[in-house]
Amino acid sequence: MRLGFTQEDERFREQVSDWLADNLVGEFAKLKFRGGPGDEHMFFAERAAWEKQMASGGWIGIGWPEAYGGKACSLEQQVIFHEEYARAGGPGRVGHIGEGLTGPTLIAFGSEQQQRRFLPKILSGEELWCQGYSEPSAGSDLANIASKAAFYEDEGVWKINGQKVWTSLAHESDWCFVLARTDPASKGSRGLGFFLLELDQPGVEIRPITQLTGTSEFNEVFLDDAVCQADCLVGEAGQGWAVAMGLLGFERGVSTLGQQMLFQNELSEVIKIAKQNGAAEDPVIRQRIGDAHMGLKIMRYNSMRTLSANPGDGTLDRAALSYKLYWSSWHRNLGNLAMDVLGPDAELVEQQPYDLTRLQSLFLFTRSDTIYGGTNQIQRNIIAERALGLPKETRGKD
Amino acid sequence: MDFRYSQDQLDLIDAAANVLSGENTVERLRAFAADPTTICKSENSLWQQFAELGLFGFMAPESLGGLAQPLEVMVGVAESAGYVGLPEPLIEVAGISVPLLNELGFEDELTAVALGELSVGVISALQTYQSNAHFHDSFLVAGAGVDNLQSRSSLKLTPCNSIDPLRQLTRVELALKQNALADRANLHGAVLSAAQLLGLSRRMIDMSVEYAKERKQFGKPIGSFQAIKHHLANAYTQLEFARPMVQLAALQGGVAVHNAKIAAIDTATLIAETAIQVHGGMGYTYEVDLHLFMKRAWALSAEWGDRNYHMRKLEQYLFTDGATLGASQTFS
Repeated sequence: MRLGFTQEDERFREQVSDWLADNLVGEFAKLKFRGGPGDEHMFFAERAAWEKQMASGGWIGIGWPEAYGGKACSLEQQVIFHEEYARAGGPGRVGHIGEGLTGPTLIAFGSEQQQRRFLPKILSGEELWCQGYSEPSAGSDLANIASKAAFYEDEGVWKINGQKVWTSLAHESDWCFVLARTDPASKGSRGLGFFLLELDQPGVEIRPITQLTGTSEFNEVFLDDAVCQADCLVGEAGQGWAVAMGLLGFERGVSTLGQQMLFQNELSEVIKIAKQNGAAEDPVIRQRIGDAHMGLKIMRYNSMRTLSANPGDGTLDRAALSYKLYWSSWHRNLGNLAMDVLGPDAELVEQQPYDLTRLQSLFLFTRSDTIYGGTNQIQRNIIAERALGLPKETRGKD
Repeated sequence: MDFRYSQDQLDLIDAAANVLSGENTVERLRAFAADPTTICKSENSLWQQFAELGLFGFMAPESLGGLAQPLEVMVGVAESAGYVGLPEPLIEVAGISVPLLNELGFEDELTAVALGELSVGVISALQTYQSNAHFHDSFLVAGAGVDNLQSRSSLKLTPCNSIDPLRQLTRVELALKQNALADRANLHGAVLSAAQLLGLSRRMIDMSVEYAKERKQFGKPIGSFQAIKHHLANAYTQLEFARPMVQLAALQGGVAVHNAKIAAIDTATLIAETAIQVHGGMGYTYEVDLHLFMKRAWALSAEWGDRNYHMRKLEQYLFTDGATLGASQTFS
């Protein structure tokens, strides 16, 4: 066993932190620690410019294979990148869905033409992506998708009809990957297609949803004969589920492992306030801060172990199945702790109309952590069935 | 960063695990529980096998007949000992006494321990009771005047009964201080009791998963119901996430030890509760084996510093002005 990173990794860490120190200045300085959870609506245009700045430094898609324009960085280096990014206060990314989800999915499942068309625009920060999976009746039961895609021979295009929901950043994105039924008579995970849909067109209407935080990060997306070119279907018609599930495998990858540095920034702020307002004198608060610190350490070293065990092909082992459940619960509890440290002042809104402090946003935003990306209940089902081998629950037939 | 054991280390851990699970069966535990006076060193073939496998000298220098393994590998053996609910004080001898004897330069005694000819226990402030002390010929007594080796017969050991039928306890009437040797004992004791708690936790999850697959209600295995699955998924997550903390504590010592013991106690507590709940009414019976492991977990949770002790230490560390916290420090 060996703790710590290799010298080569540490040199990489220096490169990352040097670049961030040199570039997160001037017009970008105000973006430090901004645009994160609960603050996604802030400085969007500036963050889009920052995405291009990152592109110019070659820091987008560092984990992608070199043949597709990436740097083929090891998992360790990708984690280091995310750590340094959070440490430097790098702003909430606007291109993370394209980089983390669309790109790897097209590399794995896309045609050569699709790869040539879309990957460079992700790497250059020019095209932003969002994810069109969930629908009003397809949440935890994702396979219950009702949106339909029909191919019009005469026009040579697909037309998609239906409604997507909880679509993060749709209002700021250029493209959306969409799951829709290519076989209208099909049910469940069969008969789906995985489409790449351009958002700037008459058939697409995007309506932001206001969240508990008073801000809007996600949207409803209405598709009314939304047009998708024939060559924008990834894989075969009817095989969309396999592509969709392959994509979810990328979702629990390294970016979530690097988020711990962000969590540490939040916990440090809670400790600072507890010392300032006297909450730190309360033994119960002290113990809860102790618990929070321990949970963070646990996540950190569990990530390191997961990385140790990685087979080298970019996938992670089964222990990684538990990570979403662990961090979302930890983060929710941190939100609770932050409010208890603030005491009665937690209630005060700094400015009208609804200008929340960072910790208030944290508290409210962390209510969603245990829901999005697969609820804690769904995560527990997955762990019980895949890691412990418990029998599947009987599911409804209609 | 690499949390993997080398192949040689894995082979050693597996060899120990095979002997432990092959020999220390539930039937053996049941027989001992029925008559605890039969837990003894004479005619104890498992105790002899420990010597033949070199387990007593696991951490002793090679020059003295040992295997010279570091604490993080001993953690793997301790987890197996926990998994089978081993009554014999193997981990105390091999994981706590041996490294301390080595530090204090007791070379002859170390050689004898490695050969299985001598058994040495530890008496220190954070270990309130000694378990199955009658296995030991002598004890390293830390924090009572000069640190020294004392024969069992020279110490006044008062027997007392444990909630765990497989632990015959003794208490020693000595005023003990927390000195440097006791700190070293506590490092090993806390890390290895945490490792045993992980093994006990894994055993209780395995038993519960098996039970949930077989036990049927409403015409289906209860393990297919989310109400049961979610309990077990929480238990599994807690266990998997606690494991690297114990390995880290073995490698790093210091505040990581407090983190590790708290994580292991929380894990074992949650899993014992979960396991009983999943077993339903059967979980509350003496007939189902679960309680043997649950009671050991209970006992080990309080040994070598309970949750409050370690949390107080952790808290003190976190709120010191010089605490190495912050994004650039916590993870170093």
